[in-house]
Parts: sequence; C-alpha cells; structure tokens
Amino acid sequence: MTAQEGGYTPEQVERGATRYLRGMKAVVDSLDVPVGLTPKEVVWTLNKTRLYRYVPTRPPEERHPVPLLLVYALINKPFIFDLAPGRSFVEYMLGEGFDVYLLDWGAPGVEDRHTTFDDYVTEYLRRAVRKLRRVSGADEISILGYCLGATLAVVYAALYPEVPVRNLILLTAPVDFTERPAGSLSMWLEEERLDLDRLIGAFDNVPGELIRTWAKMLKPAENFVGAYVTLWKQMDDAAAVHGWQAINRWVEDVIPFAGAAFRQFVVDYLRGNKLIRGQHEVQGRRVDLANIDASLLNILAEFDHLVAPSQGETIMEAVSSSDKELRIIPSTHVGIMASARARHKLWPQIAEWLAARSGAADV
Amino acid sequence: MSEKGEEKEAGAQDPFAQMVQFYDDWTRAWAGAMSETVKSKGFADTMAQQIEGGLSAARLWRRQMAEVMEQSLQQMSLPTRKDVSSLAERMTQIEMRLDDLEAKVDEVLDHLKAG
Repeated sequence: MTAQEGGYTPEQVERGATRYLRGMKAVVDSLDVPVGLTPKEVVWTLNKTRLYRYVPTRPPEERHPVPLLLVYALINKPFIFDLAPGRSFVEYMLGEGFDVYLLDWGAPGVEDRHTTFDDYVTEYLRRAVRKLRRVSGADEISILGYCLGATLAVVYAALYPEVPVRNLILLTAPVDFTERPAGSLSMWLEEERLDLDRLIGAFDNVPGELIRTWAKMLKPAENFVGAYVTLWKQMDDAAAVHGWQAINRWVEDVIPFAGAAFRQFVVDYLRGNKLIRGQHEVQGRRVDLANIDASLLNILAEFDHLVAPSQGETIMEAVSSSDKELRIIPSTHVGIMASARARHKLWPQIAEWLAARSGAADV
Repeated sequence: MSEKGEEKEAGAQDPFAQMVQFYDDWTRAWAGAMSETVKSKGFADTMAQQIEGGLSAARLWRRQMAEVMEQSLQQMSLPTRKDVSSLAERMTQIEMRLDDLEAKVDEVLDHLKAG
C-alpha cells in the first residue's frame, strides 16, 4: 500500500517508529541526564544541608562585592538554578560578575520528620548566612528565593533584621493565602479535605511523589500528555531535547517534605495565613514583615498554577522597604526560571536590577 | 509552503505525527474542560476521599510491617529504624552545637585581631 492510497509505506512506518523509540529513549535517559554542572565547592554542611559557592568566572576586580545567596524550595531539587550549560541561571549570574552561593536543603530522612518549616530558617538558613558572610568577607548579602525558598527568605529577613540583607529577590513567593483560587493546591489542602495527622502518621515525611502528583493534577492535560508531545515536536533539535530532559529530570527527581515542616506550613502559613497577618511567631519572636527594609524585587508569574499572583502581591505593602518593585510576567511557575523567555528576558532584568544595588560604594 | 501545509506534509509521512495532531486538537477541545473539572469543589472532594482511602491502607500496612521488622531486628540484636533515626537526630544536634562553637571561636578571633 502507498501513502497516496491512504496508508503508509514501510519506510514511513519505520521512520515514525524510529522517532517514537528515540523519544522513549530520551524520556528514560532524562532521569540520568547530567545537571548542575557549573563548578562549585562545598563551604558548609549541616545534616543534609549544603552551602555551595560557585567558582567565579570573572576576576575579583570585575565582581560585585555583595554576594548572592540562592534559596530554593523544600520541594524538588535546587538544580533548577543550574540545569545545563547555556541554560543555567547560576552560570549566567557568574558571567555577570556575581559571587553566587546556593543553599541545598538535601533530602530529609525519617530522622528529620520533626524539623519544622521555621527550623529551616532558624537552624539552617541563619547558620548558612553566617558562614557565607564569613567565607565571602562581605557584610551585606543579597538573597534570591524561589517558591517556598522565597517564603523562607522572607521569614529570615523579617526575623533577623540585624543581619544586613541588602537585596531581596522573590520568585513566585507564596506569602498570603487570603485567596485560595479554585483548582489550586491551597484549595486541596484545606482542613476538610486533608487530615494532616493521618498523612504524616502514614509516611512520617510527605512523599515527594504525592506532591508531584498533586502539582501535575492541577494541569492534567499539559503535564501528563502535553510535556511528551512537546518533546516529540522538538525531536530533531538536539539542544532542545537536552533542555527538555533536564527539566523533566527536575520534575521527576522529587524529595520528601519533612513531616513537621509540611504540617506547619499548611496549618500556620496556609490555613492560618499568619505570616501576612503578622501573627506568626518563631521562638517567641513575632515575624514582622515591616522589619524588612532591603531593596525588594518581587517577581510573580501570571499563569502560575501553584502560586497565584494574588498570593504573592500583598507583601509589597507589608514591608518597609523604600526601594521595592513588583513585576508580574507572562510566565508559569517553572517557566519563570527555566524557559527560553526567562533566559533571554528575565535573567538579564534580574542581573541589571541586582547589579545596580550591589556596588562597593554602599557596602 | 505555509507552516500548516508543512505540518500536514510531515503528518502524511509520519504516522505518529497524526497522534501529535490528535493531541493538539484534543487539547484545544478538552484541556480547558479538564482544567475546569480539576478546579471544581466536587473534584477536590473526590480526590480527598481517594487520598483518605490510600492513607488508611498505607498506615495499616506500615504499622504491621514496622511491628514485624522491629520484633525481628530485636531478636537478632540489631538496631531498629527508630534506633537509627534517634541516633541521626542526636548527630544533627551535635553538629549544630559544633557550628555554634565555631561561630563563637570566629567571634573571639575577630575580637583578638581587632585589638
């Protein structure tokens, strides 16, 4: 039978099958694709947490004196900042002359089930910042937090105003749960729908696979089918396939969420909405967002299905920073860091904003 | 040739391209409807019930396994999961105390250097 008669020639079927097999191989290989390749050294460890310093690529005289600390969420791994050469935010910022540090929380084990959300600030982030300042010799620092990492950065900056955080950059920071949009994770985690005691009692730590499934279910067509169709369409572009693999690995390479941390985040931050209301206390100290006076760049994604812009906007009024800016960009929760648009538009904007505020004269 | 024409041509040569085309058409028709479904209270409630069922089974299985394992390990004089995690917790506490000590030493050194 020929294609003209409505079927396919054996060559066409073979070509299609070969492409299909290549696609399958690309999916399987994606789970081991090399990521996080920018050279770095460990400068501090505590439990599973690691503080990395990336090897600078610019000579000292061309570097900004204020170091930049990247803080990622407690879900997935932080190599979203350093996916692959040419697609790495870390690599880009090094090239722009920043001294870049990354806090990697590691994967909690059963022994970490009692670690609360606030412990990540008081026991880990606080110590990591101390070490960073020691290693870098800098007094002031900049912090860029992404997703829950941004929430942790906000709590840190509010709780320790004595530590000079000069610049605070928030990417998709969930801080205000007054609005819980339909079809959002916050709606699914409401008290009448999720018994936290039973969840944590069953697993100790919340399995990463469960959180990943929740996140994917929010956009089922796009996540369960669309992602693979995107790969199919890019099959003839090796660089695009590699980029897809790196992102797919990041999506699939999940870690558990420490049980007590998950409980506290859901009860106090989400259901209680204590942070934006100024009712949250850590070790007897109120977390007052008005203590934050750092220059603030708050970036939210218009099409974010995990953190609605309404959940990140209101911090602008709560802080006392005189230099603050809110940008809502047409992107998604992951696209804000990992898309081509991010590489070409947002990263340069972040670097420009930060460079203007990282000069030696103000140190 | 227009972009659509090229896609059609590619589709004629690649049987799997038809599946891609089907997905694109399907997405246009149904993805919106699916998004609306997952946004509904009914979907959230149904999912909550399914998770609840799964948790009950997981908890029961885990408890039974833990009891069997704990008894077996104790009979063999081997540490249990609880023993190991307790030890790991203590090690983290020690690490934190060491870190605090290091911070104090740094402070003293700075003080001595200053003068």
